[in-house]
Amino acid sequence: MLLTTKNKTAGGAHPPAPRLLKYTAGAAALWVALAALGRIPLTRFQDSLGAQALLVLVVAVAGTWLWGARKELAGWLVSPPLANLFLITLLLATVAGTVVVQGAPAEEFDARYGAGAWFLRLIGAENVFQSLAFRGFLAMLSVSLVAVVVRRKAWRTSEWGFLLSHGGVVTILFGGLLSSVYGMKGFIDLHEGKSANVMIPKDEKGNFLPGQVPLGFALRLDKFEIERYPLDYRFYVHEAEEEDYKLASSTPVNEAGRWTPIGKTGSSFRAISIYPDYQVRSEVRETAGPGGSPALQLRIQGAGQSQTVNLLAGVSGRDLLDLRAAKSLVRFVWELDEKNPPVTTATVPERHQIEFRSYPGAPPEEILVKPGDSLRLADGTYVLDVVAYLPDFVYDGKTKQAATRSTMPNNPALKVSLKTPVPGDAREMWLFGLRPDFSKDHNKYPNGPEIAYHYTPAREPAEREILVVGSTMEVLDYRRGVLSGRGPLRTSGTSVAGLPDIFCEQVLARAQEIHTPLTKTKEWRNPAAEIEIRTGDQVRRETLLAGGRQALRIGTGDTLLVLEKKPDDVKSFRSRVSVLDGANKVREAVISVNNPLSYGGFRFYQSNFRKEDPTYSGILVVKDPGLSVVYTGFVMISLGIIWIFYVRPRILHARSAARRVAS
Amino acid sequence: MIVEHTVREQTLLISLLAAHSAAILLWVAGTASRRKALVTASVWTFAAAFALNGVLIVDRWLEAGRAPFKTLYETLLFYPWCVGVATLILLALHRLRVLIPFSSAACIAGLAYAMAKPDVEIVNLPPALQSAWFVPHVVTYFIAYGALFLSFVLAVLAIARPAWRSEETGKGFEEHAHGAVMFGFTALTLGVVMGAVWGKEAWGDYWTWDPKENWALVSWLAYLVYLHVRMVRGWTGRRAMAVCASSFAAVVFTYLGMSLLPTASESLHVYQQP
Repeated sequence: MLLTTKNKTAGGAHPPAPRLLKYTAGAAALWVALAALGRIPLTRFQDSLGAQALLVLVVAVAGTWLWGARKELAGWLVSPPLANLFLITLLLATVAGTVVVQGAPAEEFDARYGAGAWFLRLIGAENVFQSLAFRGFLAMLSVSLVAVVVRRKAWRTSEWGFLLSHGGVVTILFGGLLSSVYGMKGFIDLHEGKSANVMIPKDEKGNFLPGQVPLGFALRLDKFEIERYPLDYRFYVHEAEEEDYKLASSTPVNEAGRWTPIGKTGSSFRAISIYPDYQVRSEVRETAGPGGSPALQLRIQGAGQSQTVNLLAGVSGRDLLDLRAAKSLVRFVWELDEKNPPVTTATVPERHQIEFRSYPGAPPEEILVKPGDSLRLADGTYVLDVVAYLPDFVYDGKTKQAATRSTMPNNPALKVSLKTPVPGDAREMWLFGLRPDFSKDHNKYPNGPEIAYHYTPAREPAEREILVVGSTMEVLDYRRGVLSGRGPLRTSGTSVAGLPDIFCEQVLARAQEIHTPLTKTKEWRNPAAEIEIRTGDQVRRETLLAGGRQALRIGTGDTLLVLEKKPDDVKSFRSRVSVLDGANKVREAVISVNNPLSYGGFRFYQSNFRKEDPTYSGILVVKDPGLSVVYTGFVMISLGIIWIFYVRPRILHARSAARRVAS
Repeated sequence: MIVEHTVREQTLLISLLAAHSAAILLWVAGTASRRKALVTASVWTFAAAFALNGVLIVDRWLEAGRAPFKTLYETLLFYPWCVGVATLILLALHRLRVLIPFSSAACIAGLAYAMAKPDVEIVNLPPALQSAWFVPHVVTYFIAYGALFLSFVLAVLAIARPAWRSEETGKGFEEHAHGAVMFGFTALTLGVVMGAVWGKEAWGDYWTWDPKENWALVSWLAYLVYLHVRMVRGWTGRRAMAVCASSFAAVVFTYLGMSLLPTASESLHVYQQP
């Protein structure tokens, strides 16, 4: 780092190659030695007298040798090749620290690098920046920089840049040393209204350490606020790409009124109506034309409001009203076969139904299954094994295993294994009875088979089962399967079969149900959209529900259209805190990301929040006594470089001009 | 309207590609036929493309309601503009018209990459990036990248044509390459320092040995090696220029190579690729 003009050894005086080799080999040997030394646990030296004696001996021998060679050493410390050697070593070490996985557990490291792992360990590459070798080189660099500044007498004006830049690096490293020796880090979990006067310490890598560190005062969270970007629902098109989906387009709901292409499918869509708080009102209307079914319109009178329910005779699942609270069931039939009434007399077991399509849009195969079954589907092209059934599925993050919380069918899940015609290709997957669409979307092969699982819980015979017969306008009351009373159906005033709050509005011999979508409120609680999809000349209408509940498959099935909220909607989050000294409030502050609070030698940073717990705030605490030193170094280095490049040449120029004038 | 903005951005991008291509063609034609007017036209075309690039950035800035430096795509729109700044400065100071085809080619590369991988939507700015440091840090860095790109071009030219001297200034490519490094390295240093101060404000650490930070350090050290071999050991000519040109590889990797690293998944800095 001497000026070329002053340095007689630079350039061609000595053949540079052997010296370069010597220096490189020396640096490499020193690095490996330091890396090895850093691996020795220090406790061994503290415990063993022999080891301590050995260390003292090594230090004494090395010290004596260095003292004897001090002149040579001093020259070497300031020699230009050494500067480059340091720079290149640190450069290579930094590269190694990004190319090699850092701080991984031993098994993972061995598995990743196999036979090369020992070598990487030898050079300390598994944890470069914390290694003794890296820090040792930084320390040697500092010593060399100080020596060079002194040797060059860098306090003269023209050398200020040199002094500031080289001194700046030493200052930053010194500040970093102060920070790592005297600094500390910790974490506080705060809840609104609660305070903390201790922090849980963390190590350099962010792992929690045992114990607590007192702050000397208390920090109370008065209020925690999360600010979000304006709600922004969009139509997203996802395209299947190998294993994953890629986002292909995003159309805001308020701009979806015109035809918009759907990826590369050739189809396009447009929104007809957007419902921020979607609800469907169903009405029955008498019809004269073909189709339709008999309908019974019931009114359920609740506290302050009433609700209309339509039962349709002969339509599976739509002909009954389950009144769990009253342990009763109302069923609507048009005509009654009295010898064989549609009344449950025994327990109906639960049903697992698989709906299989060998490709999107194929006619479904619907099969009732039970665990242990093996099915041949699509004429034997696919084999589906029903592996297991869990009534109340839960995924245990610790054991990484699926389990059941209870025997109640709260979240029925079926584990199946699907063998495709590709030899050796079998995929195990969980299907969820509550979310048939989820199963479809998450277990899909692009263009491949789709499986949905429908679960019907076991049904006990109801205590009361009430049959409403439309053709005769009669009500039959069965108790545990036995007819216990019958009477006429009245359409006004009196309740049906004495059930409180259930009234018959009308009976229609042939009716059609008309569904009218509407928005309950203007808030985005349950968004949905009615859209048109155009393929060629054909236009079809679909309803799309937001929130991941529904995805429309377009074209061959590997393009999905969904309605979703724009992601990453948290704009900012902040903690309103008070600093308490005993019972006294000494300071109020707002801590947010990029806006920490400094108090009592600590800095408090807004770290995280919890979606599920809006009163929680995570605060990172940092004590960093080296910070002002580091910042001084930053200023020095910045000014120094500007001085060297842009001020010094002008000073030298002015001097030589002055000299020319003088001579 | 978002859809209109997307269409407008596409139109601007295509116009920019056309303008830069025209600048290259004019320069080549002017140099081959020794017609100064064509070369001058090439300079003005380049300047027009630079202005258009500015319009593109301002348009996106207004549309996003924030500085458009968040995603890889957005920086790919900004990088050509910074190459433009550095090129125009060198044109004004040293009349280095030879830079036009190289700068335009770099702009075309960046803009074409941007067109191939466009952002599907304008992403929201997360809390950590909402800082007064965001714009100065990124702008300083990209100005440094722009200047260092030119230093790379000039170093390669210096290796290819060591004897060339400018008619106006009498300086060779090597001196200009060194000048570009001085400017770029100063900006690089200021960029790192600003990043460190910002990191301290946002995360409590000025340096975390994060892969992107490490590569910023590698780029800085690479140019420091060049500066030391030149200013201390007195290397000049081809070998100094070779060190200078190869240092730029570290910059390119820092900018675009992060996703290749096994350690990148832990990084807080790696550009989002939607």
